[in-house]
Amino acid sequence: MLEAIVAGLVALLTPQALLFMLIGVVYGLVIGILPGLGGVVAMALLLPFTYGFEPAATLALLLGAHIATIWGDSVTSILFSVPGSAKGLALCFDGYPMTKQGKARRALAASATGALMGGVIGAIFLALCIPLIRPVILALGPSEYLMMALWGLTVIATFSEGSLMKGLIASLLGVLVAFIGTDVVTATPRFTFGTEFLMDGISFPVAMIGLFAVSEMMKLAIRGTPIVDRTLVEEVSTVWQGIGDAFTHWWLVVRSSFLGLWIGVLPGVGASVAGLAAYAQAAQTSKTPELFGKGAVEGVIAPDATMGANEGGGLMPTLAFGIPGGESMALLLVAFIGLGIVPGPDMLTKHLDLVFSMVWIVVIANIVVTLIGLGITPWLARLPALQANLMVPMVLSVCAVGAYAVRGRIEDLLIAAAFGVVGYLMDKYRYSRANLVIGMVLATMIERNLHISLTLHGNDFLLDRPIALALLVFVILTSALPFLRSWHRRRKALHAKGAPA
Amino acid sequence: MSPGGKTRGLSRLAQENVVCAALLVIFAGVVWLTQDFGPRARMIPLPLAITGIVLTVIQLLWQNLRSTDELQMDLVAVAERRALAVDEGAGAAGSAPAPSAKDSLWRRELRAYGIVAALIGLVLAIGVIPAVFVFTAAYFVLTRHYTWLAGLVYTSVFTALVYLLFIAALQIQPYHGLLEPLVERFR
Repeated sequence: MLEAIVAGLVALLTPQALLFMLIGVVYGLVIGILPGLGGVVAMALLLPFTYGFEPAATLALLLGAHIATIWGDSVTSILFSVPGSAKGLALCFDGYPMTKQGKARRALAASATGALMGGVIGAIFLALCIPLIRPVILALGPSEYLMMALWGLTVIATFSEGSLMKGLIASLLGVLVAFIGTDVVTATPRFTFGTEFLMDGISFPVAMIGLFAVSEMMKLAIRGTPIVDRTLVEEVSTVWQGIGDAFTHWWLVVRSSFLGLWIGVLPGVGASVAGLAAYAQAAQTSKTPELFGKGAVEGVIAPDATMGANEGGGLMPTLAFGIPGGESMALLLVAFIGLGIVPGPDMLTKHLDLVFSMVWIVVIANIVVTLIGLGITPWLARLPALQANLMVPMVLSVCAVGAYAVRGRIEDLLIAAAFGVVGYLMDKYRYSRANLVIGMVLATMIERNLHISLTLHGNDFLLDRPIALALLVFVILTSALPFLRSWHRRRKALHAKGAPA
Repeated sequence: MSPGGKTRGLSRLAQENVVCAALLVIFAGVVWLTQDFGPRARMIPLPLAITGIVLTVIQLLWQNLRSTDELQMDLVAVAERRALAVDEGAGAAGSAPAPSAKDSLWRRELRAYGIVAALIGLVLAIGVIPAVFVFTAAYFVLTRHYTWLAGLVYTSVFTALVYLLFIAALQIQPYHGLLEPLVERFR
């Protein structure tokens, strides 16, 4: 095994592989920052250029680009509340308030360092856990996935901004929006109004562009002032504060990384769920949950650490069983086929050096991304101070091109505009946009797994699946935890008031 | 907006009620549409839509039974108050108020909707890249934030960057707009 670890590193230390990784990282950062385009697009566009090169160089290019898009997504979420893709959504909740408070440098640095630490933890556990993870994955079925999706719904209370009723209504709307299109179980066209375009459903990145980017630009056009008016709010933070924050909250980073690894290992769950789940667990376990949503640095560190580790987790089932953990891992499988490598148990015997090359790529690419990120943070932090009259036309134009570019369909532009108006109205009347997105993310997963569970195990599927039952108890407990803590705090405050002086 | 939560048009409460009514229509529409689906296809949407109706009715009753002051104020209204306060301070110091503070909120909202509609209209009419150029240039000219020369330079550089990124580098096939056949005829 030690030989494979060294051989994996040596294969990477060629000028070609290092150059490819650098190209991949820079390209990934640019793609990550563009709205609507994420790691999947970055890898898909690189795929045709990868044939005929050394496997280590090819994987350095693909994985380097993919890893860089994660932080690229975070940048726009933190600075403009415009997530580049669904993964970056959780960064909007506290990253953007930090920017508005003049702490953009701190938020960006904490995000980059959190992602690096998560990425390294993910890579280490990828190396250690490959032989151990097989029985765990095989023990889980649709019923357990259903429970995990339900656990994702527990974050709704976190994002409800004071009105749980409105939060629930928003999430219900999100679930119903996700049902637009052909039903994956029965092939019934639902809510398509006879249009061919809606048969494919609402594209997730397009909805995100509308809900967040377009609506934020509408708000900016109405307000007429920059996101951060430097005459009122000065940049008061430093990059070093952000780096220090990530190390100070090391236990949060470790917990979030394990969560990211776990979600990455599960096929089909995806990094968008990982970011939201990380945010929820950070808020639920924080000593100061009341600061979440108002610029808590933990709300930035946790999602980034989770998404960093998620890559390592996603590689596990891809390499060990040939089961892709998500869309980007499916593209990696295509690259493997191009290189003549068959993922599966053989990867752990015949191509172990290549497996360790990938572990090293995850580590080195994360380091390169973080170094570049920390280097450009002072310049990036100036962007929110740009005049609204410059930002609005440019960002709206990029949104329009980005929305069209997602599927190459002009109808998506109309969808983005419609979601932009809906997003603006939701923000105005305090219906959480985040909850709508959470509903959209989890709807298909819940419906598909419920149908499969009912078909396989009947109506009493929970009794047949003890792990699913245990997970349901866990879901109920974690849902009740914030309410219990709040009740306990209120009771303590009442006691303190009632106590004689 | 007045302290009681009233705007020149609809009060905040009335606006919230309109939103609830729109939500009720959406959820009721979903219930009606699911009647055409098979039992499995409507297994989840139907109960969810009914739950949506129940929650919206509760929200509607709740917001009408409590005091208007308890309704959450929107950020834009808060921002508007702040802008007015800043402008009052600046006015006292002898400078002119910013043009945005003079307009009422609904006018600015209408302008924001118009901006989005204009961009969509331009893309549909003349295609993606020309629309980016025309929209950005027009925005700069109409807001008079930059001189026409500076605006033209920014617009040209920006459009070139968008073209290089999306069309040249990412190989995305651009949409040419509904007017393309007309342009082709004159070619």
